[in-house]
Amino acid sequence: MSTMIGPEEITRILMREISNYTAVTEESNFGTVIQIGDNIAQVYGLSDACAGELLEFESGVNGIVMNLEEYTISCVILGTEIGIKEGQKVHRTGRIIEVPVGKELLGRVVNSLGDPLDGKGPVNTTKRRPIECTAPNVIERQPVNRPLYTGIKAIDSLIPIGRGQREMIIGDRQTGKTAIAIDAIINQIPDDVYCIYVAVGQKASSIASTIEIFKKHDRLKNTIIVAASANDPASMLYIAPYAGCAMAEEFMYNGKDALIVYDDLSKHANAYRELSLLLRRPPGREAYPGDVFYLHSRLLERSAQLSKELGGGSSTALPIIETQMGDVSAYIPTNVISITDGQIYLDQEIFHQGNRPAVDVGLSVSRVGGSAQISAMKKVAGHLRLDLAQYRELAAFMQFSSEELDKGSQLQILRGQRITEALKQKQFSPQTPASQIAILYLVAQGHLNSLPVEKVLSIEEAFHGFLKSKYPQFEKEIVQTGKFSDSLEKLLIEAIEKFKELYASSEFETGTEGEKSEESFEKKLWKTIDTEGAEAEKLEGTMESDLYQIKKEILEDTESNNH
Amino acid sequence: MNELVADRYARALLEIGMQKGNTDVYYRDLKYIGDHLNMYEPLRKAVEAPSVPSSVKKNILIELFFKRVEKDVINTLCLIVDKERQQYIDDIIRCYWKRLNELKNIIVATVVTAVPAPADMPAKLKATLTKQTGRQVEIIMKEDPSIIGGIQIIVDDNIHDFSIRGRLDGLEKHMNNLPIGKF
Repeated sequence: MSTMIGPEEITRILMREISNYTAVTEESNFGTVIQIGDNIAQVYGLSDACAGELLEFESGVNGIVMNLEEYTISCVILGTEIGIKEGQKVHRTGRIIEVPVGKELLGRVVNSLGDPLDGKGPVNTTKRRPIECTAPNVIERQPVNRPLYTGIKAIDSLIPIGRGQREMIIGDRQTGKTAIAIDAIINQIPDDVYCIYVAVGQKASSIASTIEIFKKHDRLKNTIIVAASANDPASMLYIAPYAGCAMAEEFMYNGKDALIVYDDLSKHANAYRELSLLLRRPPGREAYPGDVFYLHSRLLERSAQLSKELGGGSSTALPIIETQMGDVSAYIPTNVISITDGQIYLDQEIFHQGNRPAVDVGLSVSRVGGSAQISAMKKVAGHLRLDLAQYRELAAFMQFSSEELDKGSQLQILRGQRITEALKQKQFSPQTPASQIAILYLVAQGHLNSLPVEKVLSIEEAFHGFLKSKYPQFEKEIVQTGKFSDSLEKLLIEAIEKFKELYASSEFETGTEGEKSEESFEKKLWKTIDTEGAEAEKLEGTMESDLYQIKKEILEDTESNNH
Repeated sequence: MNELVADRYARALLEIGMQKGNTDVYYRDLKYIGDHLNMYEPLRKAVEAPSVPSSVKKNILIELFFKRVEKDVINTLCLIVDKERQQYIDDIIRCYWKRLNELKNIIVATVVTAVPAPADMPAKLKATLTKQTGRQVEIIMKEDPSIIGGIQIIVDDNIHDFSIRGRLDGLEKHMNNLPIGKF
């Protein structure tokens, strides 16, 4: 960059290229535009064109052959129809539409054709893949057996996702569907799982803010964003998921793991409906064309866990579906439910109650992810679903009077409330599996039963800090073995006891003066009431000096976490 | 749609012509009628106007062409008018011509040049193309200054491009696709 390149040098290179260029006169098939409108062109001729083939218009834009009729073909235009006139020639290209693929795309924002939108110059990839290709067949696959962590407690514990799984995220508007997908992407370690975020029919401003989030959390370099915003023609929205899928496949077939988020497939189906109606294909239920099931099944089937012979790569899909007024039995949601390996159902009511992420644990399932869960998580989360279900049933009674309930039921309610509270999680704060196991163990075993519900989250934060600084071996062992052995459980119980002592005796939870007496009362209460499975605590005098040090560290730790 | 309708009438007439051995005569007659329709605007208007009753249209056509063209062609014309397909007459003639060429194994090649071609060029091209394809070739010459130079040979919907325009387009594509990052 130090000296400018002389014009002679540029001229020399250009001259060389021009002299190298040999004009090949080929026989080419052509057609004539006889009608154009609504981004659909009717072309006469082109008798050799194949379905799905890429066509080239004189104005430079491309089109895809959608309908082959007796004398004409209908094709959708990928881009603007401005500049296309009746009578212009249309040429075949002999190939189906391809997009650039490969690692070079990471950190880039591209459109459905793989052309950059971020102004960072051309995408220097060497490889291209066709956007449509057949999914791996049965012998090319193996069962899903490796976990893909989203970093969200409610999901990793109750609705676990495995690599190569298709897990749908479904819910009304404004229930945090995209937030879950974004959190999942943020939680991926760069170069472990490559992420592709396909935005279909979203506002350009939403896409821009999503990109900002990735940038802020330093995950853009690990992510490809395929953006087809609301102002793009329906044809671009239609091919965007396939383009993104081709990029994910490139990683998968090279033995890597990929995570692809389709945000969202309802808008994709709408775009396809628009095209189909304009192409005069007969409408079916909800005016969607007859092949709208195949539209999504052929896309989602391409996500897979490949067999060892093929490198064992995977492509995990998180398709997002937006429902209207919680109607899960509409056409597109039921279709996608039946295609995917489970769904995360987000409920508006739960969302407004303040339980965020608003996962409806009762309606959400993961059909294959359970086998991908590490045994430690399985052990801790095993009873969680049941506990929550029982709690919900009892909670209905509780509305009348809790006095009438027996001791066991009251305990159930106490625990249920705290589990629900502990499953709350802030956005962009993914947790490691070990942290999740620790906190879920804490609530599931009833250690927090005597605390007011509102305290659960602050306790959680403090406990994570405590565990990290004082018992790092806990996380280490979980990561290494994946098991929650008896000795590890003992270690965790020991940690919990220590933490309780510390919490009860210290004042690191700074409240206002008025609250203070109340708080200390609670702390005493906690100390005196026996918790299930836990033994009565004794404060050992020898601990006093250590305690000061621990408290100081925790304070520092929680402080640094806050920043 | 046009083709779908037109081809049906054209095929029917051609099949009758094949039975009677009159295919070429029919084409001559069709072209004769088509030329007149193109030449005399009022005639076309009279034939195509929906306000004119079909009996009047038929009378006009019979009176004009009765002595001059074959009876079968007149009957076809009347049928077309009865079925109110008169706006497709040109398409029917074109389809008939296409089918006739297929039948006689003739290839029609449109040769596009930028400037008026030398007088002997069609004959030369015809000889070469006949030799290459082994089929009879009919040449239609066309001028189009936008190809700049050279020639284009168009057969059905295939184009053999030997024009300057095509080469320039190719060069443009080549230069656009240069892998910039590799220098």
